[in-house]
Amino acid sequence: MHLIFDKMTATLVGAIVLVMLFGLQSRIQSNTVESTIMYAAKKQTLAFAEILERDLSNAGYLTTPGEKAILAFSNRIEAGRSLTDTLEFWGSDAAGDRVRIRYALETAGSSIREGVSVPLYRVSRYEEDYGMWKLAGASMSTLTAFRVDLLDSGNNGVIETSDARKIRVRFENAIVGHQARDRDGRTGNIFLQRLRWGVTLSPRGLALQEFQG
Amino acid sequence: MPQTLGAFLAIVAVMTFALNYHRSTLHAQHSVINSEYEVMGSAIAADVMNYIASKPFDARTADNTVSRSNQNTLLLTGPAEFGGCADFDLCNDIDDFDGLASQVRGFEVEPGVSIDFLVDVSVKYIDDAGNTATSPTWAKEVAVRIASADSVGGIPRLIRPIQLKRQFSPQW
Repeated sequence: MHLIFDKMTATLVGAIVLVMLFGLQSRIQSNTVESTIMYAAKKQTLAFAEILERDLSNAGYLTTPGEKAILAFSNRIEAGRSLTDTLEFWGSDAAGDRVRIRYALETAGSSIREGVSVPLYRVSRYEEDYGMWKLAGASMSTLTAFRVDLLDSGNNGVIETSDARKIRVRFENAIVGHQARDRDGRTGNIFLQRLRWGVTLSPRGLALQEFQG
Repeated sequence: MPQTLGAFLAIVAVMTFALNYHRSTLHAQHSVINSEYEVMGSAIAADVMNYIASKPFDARTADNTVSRSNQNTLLLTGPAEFGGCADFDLCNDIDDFDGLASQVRGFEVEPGVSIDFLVDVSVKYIDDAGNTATSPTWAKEVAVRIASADSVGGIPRLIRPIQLKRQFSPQW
């Protein structure tokens, strides 16, 4: 009897230990997956940041004195945040030719953070090609904010786009992780953290707008 | 006796795994925080570099002593005379930023909340091959170095400083 009891206990303890080890191992794996997602998100964020920086540095490319460099600019307020809806300007394409460039904010689903649904966006970049807008690049579809501010030389916001001498741009990219179920039983992609990037540029092409010479 | 030994070994195995798990979680968290800092730090580096790029190549090109019609590199500011401004906003040309005392620049994450970074700038002349030149040339290399201003338990939030380099030449 003693022997049977001993063996049963040993089996039970062994099973518990195995289950615990399996649980720990799977958690370690999910940590590794999170790190990989983070690495990919960081690379994508910096790649989009590079495109934005290059594009906006060329804003007003080859404009003549008095000509408008920023052609369209509009913001919208969503979920209490001001987001830039459209930004259109004279810029440079990959071949160095002067071209109209348009950034447009598009809704790209939603994610859950601390039980609250957060809208996600994508910024699409279009180039004008013989009167038609041709898609020429886009951000990742996990942006939670995209904001462009047109500033004068003293860093104050402007009302007239032709008064702009500087462009400040900021965006936030959420790192969307695995599917999870929240307390209310809803499932969705949760996001772990936000990567934030922003820069203020003084494109030379904006200096000649509304030139009074 | 063998049962006791077996149970002890099982506990040791579980504890080792648990320790491994916690270390892995800590590492993953550090990596996530570091990545956030890296992206913000690179934004600060781009910002500072664009600010420096908005300044004239040299004091002598700004006052037209050296110009398209007088292309004499010997008249440019010598490497020994680099630096000399007390604050970012007081620097008049590219080489004035050299050796400036570490500047604190904040990246605003929420209204009123910002994360501080330390910015250091160094400027040098380079030759056509990209090596450091001891006398003035037509190219200056600016290196912007970003480090985190705060640390947790002695470990800086930005584990490795970010360095951004760019070369400038007079534009005429």
